[in-house]
Amino acid sequence: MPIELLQKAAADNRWVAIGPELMVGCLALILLVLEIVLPKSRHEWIPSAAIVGLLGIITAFLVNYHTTFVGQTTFNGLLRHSGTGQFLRLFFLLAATGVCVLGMVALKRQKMPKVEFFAITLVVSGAMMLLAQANHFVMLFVALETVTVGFYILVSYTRSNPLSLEAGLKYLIMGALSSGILLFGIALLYGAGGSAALAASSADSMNFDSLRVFLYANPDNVVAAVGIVLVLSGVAFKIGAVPFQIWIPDVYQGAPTPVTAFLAISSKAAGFAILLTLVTVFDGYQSLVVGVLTIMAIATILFGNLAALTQHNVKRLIGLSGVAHAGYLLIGVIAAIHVPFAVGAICFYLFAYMLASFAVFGVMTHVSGEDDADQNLDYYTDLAKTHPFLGVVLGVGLGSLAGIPPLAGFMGKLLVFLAAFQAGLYALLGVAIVGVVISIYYYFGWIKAAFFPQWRPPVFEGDDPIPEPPRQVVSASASILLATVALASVILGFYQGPLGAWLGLN
Amino acid sequence: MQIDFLLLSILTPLAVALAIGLGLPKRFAVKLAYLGFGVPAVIAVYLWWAFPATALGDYVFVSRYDTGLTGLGISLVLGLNGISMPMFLMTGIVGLASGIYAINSEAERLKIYLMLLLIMQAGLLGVFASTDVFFFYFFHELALIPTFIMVGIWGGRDRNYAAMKMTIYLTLGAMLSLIGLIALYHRSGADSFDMLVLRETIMTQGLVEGDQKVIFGLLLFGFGTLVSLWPFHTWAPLGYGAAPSSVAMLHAGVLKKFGLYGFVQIALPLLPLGAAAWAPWLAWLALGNIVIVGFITMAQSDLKQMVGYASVMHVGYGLLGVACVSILGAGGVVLFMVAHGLSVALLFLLTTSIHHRTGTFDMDEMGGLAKKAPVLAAFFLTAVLASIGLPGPGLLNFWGELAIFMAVYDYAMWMVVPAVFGVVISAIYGLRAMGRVFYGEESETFIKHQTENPVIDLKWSERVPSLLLLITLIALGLWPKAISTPLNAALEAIYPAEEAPATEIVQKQRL
Amino acid sequence: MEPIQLALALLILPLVSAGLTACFFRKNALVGSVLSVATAAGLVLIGGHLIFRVEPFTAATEWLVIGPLSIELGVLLDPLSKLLLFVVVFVGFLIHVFSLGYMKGDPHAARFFACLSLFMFSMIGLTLSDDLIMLFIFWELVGLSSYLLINFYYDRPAAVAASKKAFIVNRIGDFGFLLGIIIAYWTFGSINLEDIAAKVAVSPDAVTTAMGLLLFCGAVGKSGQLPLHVWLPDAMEGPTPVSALIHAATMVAAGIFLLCRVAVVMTGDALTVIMWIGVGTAVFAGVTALGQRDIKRILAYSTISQLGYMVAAFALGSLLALEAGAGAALAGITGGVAAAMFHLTTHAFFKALLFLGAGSVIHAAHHEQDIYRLGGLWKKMPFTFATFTLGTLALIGTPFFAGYFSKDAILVLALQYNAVAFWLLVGTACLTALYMTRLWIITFFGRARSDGASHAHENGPVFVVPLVLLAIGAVVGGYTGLYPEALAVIPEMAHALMATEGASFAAASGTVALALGVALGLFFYRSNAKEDALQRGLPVVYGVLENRLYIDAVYDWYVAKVQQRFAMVLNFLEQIFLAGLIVRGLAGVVGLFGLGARALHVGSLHAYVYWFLFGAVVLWAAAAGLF
Repeated sequence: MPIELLQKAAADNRWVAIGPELMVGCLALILLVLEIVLPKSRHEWIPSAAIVGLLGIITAFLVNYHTTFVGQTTFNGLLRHSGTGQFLRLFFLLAATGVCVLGMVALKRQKMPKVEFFAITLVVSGAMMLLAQANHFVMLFVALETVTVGFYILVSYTRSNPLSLEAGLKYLIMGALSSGILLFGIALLYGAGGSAALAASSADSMNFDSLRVFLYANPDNVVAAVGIVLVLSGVAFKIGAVPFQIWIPDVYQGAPTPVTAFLAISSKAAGFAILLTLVTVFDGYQSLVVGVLTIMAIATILFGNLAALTQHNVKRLIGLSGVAHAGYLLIGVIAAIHVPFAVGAICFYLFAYMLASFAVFGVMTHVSGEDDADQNLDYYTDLAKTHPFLGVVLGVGLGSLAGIPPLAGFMGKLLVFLAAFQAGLYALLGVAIVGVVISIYYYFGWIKAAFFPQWRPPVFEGDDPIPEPPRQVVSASASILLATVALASVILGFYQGPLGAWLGLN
Repeated sequence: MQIDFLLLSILTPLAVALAIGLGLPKRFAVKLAYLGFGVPAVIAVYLWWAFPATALGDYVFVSRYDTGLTGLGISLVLGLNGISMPMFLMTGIVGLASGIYAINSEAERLKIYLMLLLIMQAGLLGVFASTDVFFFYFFHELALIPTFIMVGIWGGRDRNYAAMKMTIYLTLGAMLSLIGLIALYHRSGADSFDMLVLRETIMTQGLVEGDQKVIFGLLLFGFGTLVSLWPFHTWAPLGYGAAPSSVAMLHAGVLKKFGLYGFVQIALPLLPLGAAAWAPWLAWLALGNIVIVGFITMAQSDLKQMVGYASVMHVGYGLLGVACVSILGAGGVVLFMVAHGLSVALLFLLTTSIHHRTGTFDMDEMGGLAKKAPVLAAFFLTAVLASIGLPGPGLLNFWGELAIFMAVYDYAMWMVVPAVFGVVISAIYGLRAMGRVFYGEESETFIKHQTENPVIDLKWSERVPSLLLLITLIALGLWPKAISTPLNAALEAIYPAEEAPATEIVQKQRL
Repeated sequence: MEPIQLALALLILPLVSAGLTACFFRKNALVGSVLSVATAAGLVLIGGHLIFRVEPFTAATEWLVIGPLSIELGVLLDPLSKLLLFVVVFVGFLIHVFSLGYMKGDPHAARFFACLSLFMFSMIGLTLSDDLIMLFIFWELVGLSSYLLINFYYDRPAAVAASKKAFIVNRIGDFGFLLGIIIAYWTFGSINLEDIAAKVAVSPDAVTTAMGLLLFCGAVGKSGQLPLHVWLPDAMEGPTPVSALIHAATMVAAGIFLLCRVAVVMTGDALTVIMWIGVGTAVFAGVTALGQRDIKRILAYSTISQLGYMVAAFALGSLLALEAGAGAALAGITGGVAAAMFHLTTHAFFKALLFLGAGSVIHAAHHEQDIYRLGGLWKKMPFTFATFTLGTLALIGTPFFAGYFSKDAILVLALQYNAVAFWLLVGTACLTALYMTRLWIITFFGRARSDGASHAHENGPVFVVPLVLLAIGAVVGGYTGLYPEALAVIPEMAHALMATEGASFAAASGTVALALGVALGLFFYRSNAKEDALQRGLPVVYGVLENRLYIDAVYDWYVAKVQQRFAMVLNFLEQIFLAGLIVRGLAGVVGLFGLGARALHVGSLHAYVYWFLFGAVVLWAAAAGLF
């Protein structure tokens, strides 16, 4: 390889562009170092350090949010910096913070090493941030694998708990499988794009720009088509779209709650980040992509809601409802092909979804049983009476997930529906409505359990009453997080203000 | 600087609710709650008084606020026109009445109860104050959510099922109407939810008949479910049967008018062709409300259920008026909505007062209550007569029904027969209830119930809200022009003109 | 004062008194009654001024405008309304005075008088209204006050049932009335009576039979014509003064007034129907009266019968006018209107007198109403007996009493138009004489047949004075010469009829019928009989009459067995199908799908992997275009 090529590459490596990612990585390392230098007794500082660090990074990031890199490619076309990318980076940073806070709460209860969790979370988040800006399959795959590998560890983090281990195993197998599928798809595309026989082929056909050109040039190439489908399938695993949602309930249930939140929020968002990029890349095969995504969306919405309908373990329930949300978001993705503001709508939806999910997961960490895979709906009885704060937060979170005004979740749905309508996806809208109405049933059932006076079976002499895990006292940091997300959910419902501006909605 | 009274009227209850939510001590909370319900009522009356006679179709007291989605044509626009002003007035009054009643009720966890009720009231005011179709919907939902929770927590018999059923039904209805509104938003080519922009665009560009049909269909079933159009009404009696009194008052009295109001303000003027296409369906179903539900009402022996069914039945008149797709029909509907809102709220209030004294809603276990509580009897009789549209207490109801009947005759001559027959039906169950509850001999159960808790006549905490409603109702009935003049002006401006009856005879007279 | 202000004062005054009593003096019988009677006196003054000093006038103001509908409410004072107003305020006042005595000692007297004032308000409004809508509004209000007064004793189930029946039956009549108004509005574009008359004048063919008959429905309900008469006898559950004022003298006459008001829109067919209904009612009620034992019920059926006369009179006269006008629409006051209103006036006096007399008897006999448990009262209560006798003579149309002239006018009309109707009406006159004689003999003669009757004694002046005044009216009420010219218009027209052809024959046959009736009565009914002569003679017939030809029974059967069951069935269907099968069923189906979807998560890793690959393959196939 000629030297100047390398020089060119080196010249293009503008490290400032990925400053936030680097800082996150360094923070992870600092945590590990701290574990060594700090005496055991001081180890509980480490999570706080992680959170403080993240907050610092977020502020730094916000200060120069409107960086000059927007619209450019760096690292020799490996990364493309876009407005959406910027927003998603912020998204992942915030999500990481939330997960860390939950981690603090949850890990207190298990006798587990406290540090690695945060380090891994940070690394994974960094990888996701890169993923959101990937402009090259190599970049994409490497980042994605970083994420997945990180999750392998996180899911089975509570080694003492068999459910957690089982979940870890399942996630490992499934993740590997999906990565395989993804990789195969990439290979096919690379092969097709690289074969000199075909028009507009290029040596670097893994680069999205050249691939895009190539796909335009060869509108009906079966190999490419299959490649596209397989890539989409691989991504579908991340977002948990039918038929690749099957792993979700078990893994969500088994994984420690903060990790579940991490999966539900960041992992899903990462999936959609990729999807949004790829949809533009695969523009040449629009009909195919739309077809596949439409089938997925319909199946996902219906399946998710129906399966969630009868769940009694709220963790499985939230997982399956997350599947349904992926379906709504898919509608947005399809709309994004034609309607530009749909991208903004999806981002808003994701943001609202993050807030709501943190609210719900946050409450779950406090109400769960001994090992937090044990999340019975009955534990929520009279929550609003005994813990009004948790009750309200839960209500706001669920309401927002259900898409009830005046909460952020509703605005998200509205924007997506608006986009979908403008794109003329009437059938999908119909399905979405059915889904929403069904979802009301289980969300409302949960609220009912928490708020409404429930009938309780009488306790006779001899037999002991139904065991109910003691509810955790809400720590300061947790209450700050919960209050923030709940309040934000409400405010964003009334007033979208700057967020709307960032997402180009006004 | 000019105060935006509409915004103020919406924010006051919200602010009070927030204050209570942040843990105001109970005695302040109660005092403040009066403010939260009182201020909007005062503002409503003031705006009614200050409403310019010159305002024809267009909105007055208009103000715009950017909520960050102006790019999508979504922004908070507040304003009143001749159609929404009477509704706003009614909302203020009914809200105050139910508020006073709630504050003086011995509900447990009173603070949360008041908080939710205040939120509901804010939403209701918003519904009629907002000129932006999106916020019209948004505020409706804002008012709807507390209803579910309140039914669930403070509700009566089988409240859980009732709350769940209401929620799912109303969500379905709301979803359908939302899609309908989105369709209107996009298909009209306005890509804006602002009433004025929508009207403007459709005036200039027009809207394809096919689109109109689809959109009106969506709105018909969406709004229809919310208004408890037969046969999508079964949530209503159940829900009202279970709902605590103040919620029933606000929901049956005001919130349920959302759909009818939507028809009159949005659907009919903007989608005349669609309306014309769907009108026969709507008319038939509305007759279902009036006749079938009317008879079902007769069969009720649970007082609150009966009132619930009665309100479902009377809504049929409103829907029938909508089906006429005419100025007369629409105007009748608005008058009727105001009247019905006031009278049904009064009925629900007094029904609960009866329950406090008899300890039951079962009419077979009552009787002879008039001897012990003559004032209550007098009020209830007045309320019943008002709701069955008897001129006098129910003069406003009568005006509304009269206008609707006139319109129906013009729309489909024979349909007026079953419609007017509803008057007889409602008289039957109304007076039957009156007799069973208040007249005749006391039933054993009632006598037994009295032994431990003796009956006392209507307390002032019950009289004041009742009088508030009653006086408004009678005053507006005696002088309907107070609301009908601006109403008519607005309708004339936004609806296609109609020819007066018997023109040829008049011409002959002139010759 | 402007006439319109006077009219409004007349209208508002009783409402104010009712309101004051209702709000402040609920418990204070004395203040309530005095206030109400004083109001009645005031009404006499203002009303008298309006009737005698004020020229006929009309004034209206716009009330409600929505699109094509514009409603103007206003006052119309013309000979017609003057006559009715006269009856209402004067008879009303006398009955207020009578009530002072009758209601003495009743704890709820205040409520009674408040309702009485409310009724005066409604009735005056009805009389003065210049358009159909205002007429309808007050029409409903008189119905309301009648409802309130019938169930004055609301702890008596019978009274409650009666009031409910009265209200609902009237509502059925009003159902037609309202339809009629709607049709009239869309036909003429106006609800103003004079306006309508003017428009009919320009295009007579605009009127339709349906319109006329529907408007007549209102009269059928209020004036107790067949088949909606059933409420009136039951309405006697109310206090007797109420029966006298509302259910004999004024309210029930409102139907006749309505007919006279809307005479212009009547077609020949409509009038024919109306006539036969009137005649039929007269005969039917006369017959039924023979089978009643309750003194007030007998008088009630007599009222129905007389109302039948009036309706028939209106129809006959109008038909004659139509023929005279060669089919053109009616205009002005026809002979029919005159005869009907004249009979209304005289009837108001003597029927009020009879009811008050009955009231006096009942009050004296400790609320004994069964004539077979009264008796021997003639020397115990001389004034009551004398006045009652005069009233009876007037009612049965004894020559030179009030009833004679008004009934004669009607017979003349009948004779001129339709022989069958004529003979039926004559027969009814005979029946009237018969049942009144029966009532008179059995109530006042023989010996007292219950301790209530035996302890009876004449009541005080508040009872006697109204009786005497009404008696004077009943005796001389037929002589139009005595009427002040403000009122004389209509009675004189009625008298004019008696100068037309066949009058003497009509008068003769009427008198013969009367004589026959009285003779039969005197022959059959013995003052000391334990049971009814007819009952002894023809028990079957008597049974039928006693059960009012089973019409009420049929209605009861319909309400209880048909209507209520229908409602029950609908309710059942809704609960089972709509709320049950469909809604819950749908929920159940969705739930099943939910279980199915949930069951896919078996938890076995293999299954998941296969599921995964399956998905990938399916999509692959889709991509490869296999399907």
